[in-house]
Amino acid sequence: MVTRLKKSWSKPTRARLSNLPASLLIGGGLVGFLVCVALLSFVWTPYDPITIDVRNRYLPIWSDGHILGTDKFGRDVLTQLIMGARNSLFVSVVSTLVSLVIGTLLGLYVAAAGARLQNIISRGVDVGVAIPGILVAMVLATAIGPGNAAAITAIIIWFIPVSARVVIGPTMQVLSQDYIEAAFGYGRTKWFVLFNHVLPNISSIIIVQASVMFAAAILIEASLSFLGVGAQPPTASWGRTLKEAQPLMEIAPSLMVVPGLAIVIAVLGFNLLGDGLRTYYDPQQARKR
Amino acid sequence: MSIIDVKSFYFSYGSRAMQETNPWTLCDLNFSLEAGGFLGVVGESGSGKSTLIRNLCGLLPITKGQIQVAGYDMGSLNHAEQLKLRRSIQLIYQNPKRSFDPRMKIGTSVSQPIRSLEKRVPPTTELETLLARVGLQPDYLDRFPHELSGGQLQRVAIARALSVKPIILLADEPTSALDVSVQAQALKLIAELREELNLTMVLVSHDLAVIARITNSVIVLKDGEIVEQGDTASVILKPQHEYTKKLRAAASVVSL
Amino acid sequence: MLTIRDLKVTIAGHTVAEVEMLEVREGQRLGLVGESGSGKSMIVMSILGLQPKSASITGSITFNGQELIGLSDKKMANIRGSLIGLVPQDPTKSLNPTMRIGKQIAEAITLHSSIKKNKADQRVRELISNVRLPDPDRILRSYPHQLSGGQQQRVLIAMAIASNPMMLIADEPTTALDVTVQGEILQLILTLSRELGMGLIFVSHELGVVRFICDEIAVIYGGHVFEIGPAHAVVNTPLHRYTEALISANIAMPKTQADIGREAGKLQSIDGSVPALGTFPNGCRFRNRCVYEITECALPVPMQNADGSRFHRCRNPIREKG
Repeated sequence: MVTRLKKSWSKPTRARLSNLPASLLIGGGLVGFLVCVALLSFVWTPYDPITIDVRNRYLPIWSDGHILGTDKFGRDVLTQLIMGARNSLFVSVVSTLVSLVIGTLLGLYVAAAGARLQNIISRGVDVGVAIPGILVAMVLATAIGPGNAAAITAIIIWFIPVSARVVIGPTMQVLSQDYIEAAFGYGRTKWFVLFNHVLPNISSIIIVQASVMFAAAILIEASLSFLGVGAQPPTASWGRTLKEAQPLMEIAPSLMVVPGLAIVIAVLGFNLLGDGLRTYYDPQQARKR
Repeated sequence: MSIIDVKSFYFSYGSRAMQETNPWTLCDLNFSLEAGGFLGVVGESGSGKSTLIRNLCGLLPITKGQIQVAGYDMGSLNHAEQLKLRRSIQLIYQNPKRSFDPRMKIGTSVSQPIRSLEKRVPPTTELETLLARVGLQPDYLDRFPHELSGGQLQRVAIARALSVKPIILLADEPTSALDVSVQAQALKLIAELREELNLTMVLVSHDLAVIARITNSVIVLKDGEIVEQGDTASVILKPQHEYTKKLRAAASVVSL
Repeated sequence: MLTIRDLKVTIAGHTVAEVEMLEVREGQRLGLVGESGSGKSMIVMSILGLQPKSASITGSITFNGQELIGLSDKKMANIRGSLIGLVPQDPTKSLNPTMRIGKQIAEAITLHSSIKKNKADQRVRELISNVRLPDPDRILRSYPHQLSGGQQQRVLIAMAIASNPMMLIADEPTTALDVTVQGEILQLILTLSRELGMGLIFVSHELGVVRFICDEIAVIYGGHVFEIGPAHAVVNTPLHRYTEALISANIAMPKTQADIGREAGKLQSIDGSVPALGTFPNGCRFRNRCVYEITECALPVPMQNADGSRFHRCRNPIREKG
């Protein structure tokens, strides 16, 4: 009996592809594709993203040499899209990672703090969650000037309390377990316990939260660029491409549809990935595997 | 000489401001335990028995009064003394499934107290010896907690507690989360190890029968107060306090 | 009244419960005893139609001549409320924390009977006195958290008997309670079952508790019924080796000076632990932990009749003494 148990466990849950949730596969595929496209932009784009070509303005979709057509300056839309993916991912990855790290540390600290400090900080976190992020971005843009830096800073400020709040609950739950008290009982310090016992046990929650936040960050980046607070020309951005296309909706509707679809696909990809990860880590699902 | 000495000890959760209105969780406790003694603490939920055992190993602060353990005054410990005390006193928990980090292999978990308190990484042979002492095969070191049954995990918990060679072992309802068929096993192991290693032991339980079987002296706790204490035989066979009598009667009705 | 024949519950290919025959006659009190993972709760949940969705059930469970297996959820829910009452394990988790006690009991009454809402109050008070709760006015106005665990369990018993069910099912109703309260609740269930002539299925991991309240005991291990017989006979002269081991592993209240303190050596225990689902040995499911194992134990063990009222499934049973 012992050997049988050992056998089934020596191969840990290396799940076969078919056993993974569909949303995880589709989301992972979309996100992977997006990352590849963004990386591709460093070595190759169909056309130069900045050069203006007055003769080839407003080419429709499926034109010769311009699969997705050209915009009002005659720039290749596909190239704009690829460069935009790079910017979108850059902004969302940087802002999400920074806010996730700070937010997680803050959350861990709050959860392990004494009752009074915990009360004060978690009220602060609640207030932080309630502040409208777009407003923060506007204020920042006027203070430090519009651009990626303003967008990233705004998203970081916006997401820190959000990610802190996601971490607090599960951390407190883990902290209430006996093995934590046992660790204190053999002389471990608070931060040792937080990093070595709590963090590994809430890592799945953080990973899921990260992918949800990526999706949100992409959407926010697009909104900010659309409002003129985010990336400035000549940096390509989906949001700005969308905005520039808005007045031309009747002349060249595809100019709006294309970046819009790109945003939808990116957000959908990350959301599906997050959803898939959640299902994957769900203990009840895990038991079935 | 008493190894545990508790004098007019009070404890209350919450801040000092609340204590005016809050009744004490533990109220005016006085008892002592000789080295090598085996004390049972019996009480129902809310009696404060789990709180008391955490006070004894310094996991909760002292609100009022005095606790001396192994010569240390628990109210005024500096950091070095605290570490020394942690080596001499260890606690075993009620629910073994909750007392192991689910993401740590058994071997890693068992080695934690040595790593933390003796600042060294124990060799595998040492861990294997620890497991062997509680009757487990060395291959359990590479398993994760969820691969073990409750009874096996409780053995591992005992091995972990004994790894730093404590002189006092505290146990908080160590058998009540286990299957009936392995309760006696775990209890027997604890009692045998206690004799073998000459440990001083405090066993907290709601089960008067368990306390009666293996302890030498007993404290009956009710609502944070000691209602009766003495050597186990006299308290069990000739209870004086009404509450002890009631407990005994209730336990006897469903006892085989 | 309730008859189980050839019941087999499987989850993900593993048999979690297999019962050839189990019967509760009118007014009879049957105790199901087993450790965790024995399948005792699964048997009870199958009777109530509350088994997990992933479980598949074959065989037959008849209640009052009506077949329960395959019954629609709606019909099953009706039977649960009106003909079979359920007393849950943890009272603190089984009451709605935001609703006053009086209203919760009234709901239990009006849901499964023809009593109108305005007439329910009288019945509520009747039930409160049935379960011996003092000061009904205060209790009815209280919220669950204002009552003790024992009082909450009494309220739940009142709700379970609200529609005069023919049978009560109690799933470890005293495990979450203190010892002193446990006795009172057991006594109450016993008295009510006698007064109202209700059949009772009482699930517990403690033989002592079941012997106190039931007149028949079924010992369950690994999803199999190992032994059935009159309560006192099963406890005093067990036939199955597992029953015997379980009784000797029980930590009993000492009665004499000799049994007190430093008695660790005298404690009897069963070696090993209950196997995980799917890792039970074939044949007798206890044989890997049994000291009386013989070669025949690896073969399937049929239920054998020892004498009229007693059945067991042991290849090497304990013979009558003397």
